[in-house]
Amino acid sequence: MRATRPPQAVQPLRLPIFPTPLKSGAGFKPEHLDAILADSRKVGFFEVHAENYMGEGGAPLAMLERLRADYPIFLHGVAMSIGGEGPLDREHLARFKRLVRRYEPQVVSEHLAWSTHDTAFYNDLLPVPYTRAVLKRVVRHIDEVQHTLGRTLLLENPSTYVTFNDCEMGEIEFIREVARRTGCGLLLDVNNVFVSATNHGFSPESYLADFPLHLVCEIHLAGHATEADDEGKPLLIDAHDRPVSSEVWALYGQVIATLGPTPTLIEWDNDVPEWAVLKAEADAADAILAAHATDAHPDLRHAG
Amino acid sequence: MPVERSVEAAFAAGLLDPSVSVPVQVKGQTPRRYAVYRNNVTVGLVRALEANFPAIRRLLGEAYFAGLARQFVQDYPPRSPLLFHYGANFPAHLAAQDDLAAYPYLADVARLEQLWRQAYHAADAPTLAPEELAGLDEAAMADLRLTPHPAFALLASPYAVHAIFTANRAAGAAVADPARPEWVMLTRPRFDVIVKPIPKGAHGFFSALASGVTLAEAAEQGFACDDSFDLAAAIRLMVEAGAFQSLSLRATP
Repeated sequence: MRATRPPQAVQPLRLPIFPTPLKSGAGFKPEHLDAILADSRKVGFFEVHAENYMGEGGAPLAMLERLRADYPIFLHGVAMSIGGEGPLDREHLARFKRLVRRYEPQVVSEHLAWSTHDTAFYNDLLPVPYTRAVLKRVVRHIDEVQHTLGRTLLLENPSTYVTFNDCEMGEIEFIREVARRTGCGLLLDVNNVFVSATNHGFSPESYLADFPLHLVCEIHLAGHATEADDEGKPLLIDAHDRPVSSEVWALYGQVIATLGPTPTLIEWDNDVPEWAVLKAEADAADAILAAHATDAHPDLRHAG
Repeated sequence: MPVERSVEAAFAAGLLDPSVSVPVQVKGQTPRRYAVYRNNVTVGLVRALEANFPAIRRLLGEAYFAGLARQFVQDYPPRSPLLFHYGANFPAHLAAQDDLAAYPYLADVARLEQLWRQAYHAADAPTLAPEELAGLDEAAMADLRLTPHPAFALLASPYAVHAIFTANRAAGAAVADPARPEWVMLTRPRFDVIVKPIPKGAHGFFSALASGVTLAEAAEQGFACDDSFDLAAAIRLMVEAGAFQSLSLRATP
């Protein structure tokens, strides 16, 4: 890290403004910083987990500042607990807002999930039942986030391993209604679609055909692990620890053929490989994006 | 919303407690599916502790650490989504383990790891430049007060906590004589945390200075701790290491 550390800024610098990158990007890992800065071929953007940059200062913030000078940054929250029954953590939201102000991210996103119950933070994206009561509180929470940040939030579809007995609507109906009532955009995680479809026995193609693609401003791709469920059938785990599967690449190609070029993130958070391996995944997404370069979706111009 | 409350509360209740059965609201009552969440939560939080206490993990061995961490995660789940703060009471938890009574230095090594993380994430601030002290006459020196840098911290231990910390944050050899006292100072002038063993007198001096007394009063504290306290060396050390960020020459705070 030493060679690439930036000088401390003596005054606030005006950050560069980038157009929406209709390209692939990568999840930023600090151990890749030197390789990224030495790489002559740039990716379209980097995405960071907001919580990792909520310290008061030091190396993490300096690294993000260095990266932000050269790249659009997408800020991805993993702990807002938007689906939770309790009120949003105002301190956490205030920290989130400081990051938005400091780094002027191109895109701000969060999950349709909960991670805090009572006072305990479980550090996982836990599933919500699709009921009218939950819909109301998710809408209330997203309204509060968007109002506080002064930004449009992209909401990500979850990967799930269970469903609930008392659901009053399907996932897509729920997501569509959240977007209609809050004006939020959507982050389509194609791997999550494949994982949930396999785990719950529905067709990922039909899910994508129903999904409000015109609201999608970003796509996530990641690798998943395969285990067995209670009946010995495949249970896919959203592990983010390996290359994107061929099935997910195929679904992604279908989505891009419909949607046109869309910022696409490769997520790799566990067993993180060297930069060249992650970059190769991003290149594979770029090849698919390039094949559909002329099908630009009009709504994408509003992304970010 | 009694129904929704119970879904989330029931789901949360079993995440860290294996004796709780699958929530009745989960379709099909499928333990292996619910277990994915249990596993994600436990593994994720145990990993956070591993990341926060790498020297303790090396000292205890991977398997023993994992067992202890699983119990800790179950008893004390984090209350903040900032996992780099997780485990503030892990040192005390280590000290309370009867099985670890033969390794009484573990808690202080864990405290040092905790301080290291706080220093790593502390606010950025300038450090006191040597020139700011150079022009002062003796009377001004005696009366000056110093403001600690946000990353500055001290630790005093009856054990060789610095030697053990340093050996186990890398692949170092075992420390032969853990039962000797050490005094440690942490600073972070830029981005790298500096963990430095310091003399006992310097520890007393810096500790007093950080509490806001004058340099003369702090020096007395240094001599009270240790007859052989070297004031000039301690001042040089604090400037070089970036322990303080600014000085004030007012007679009273």
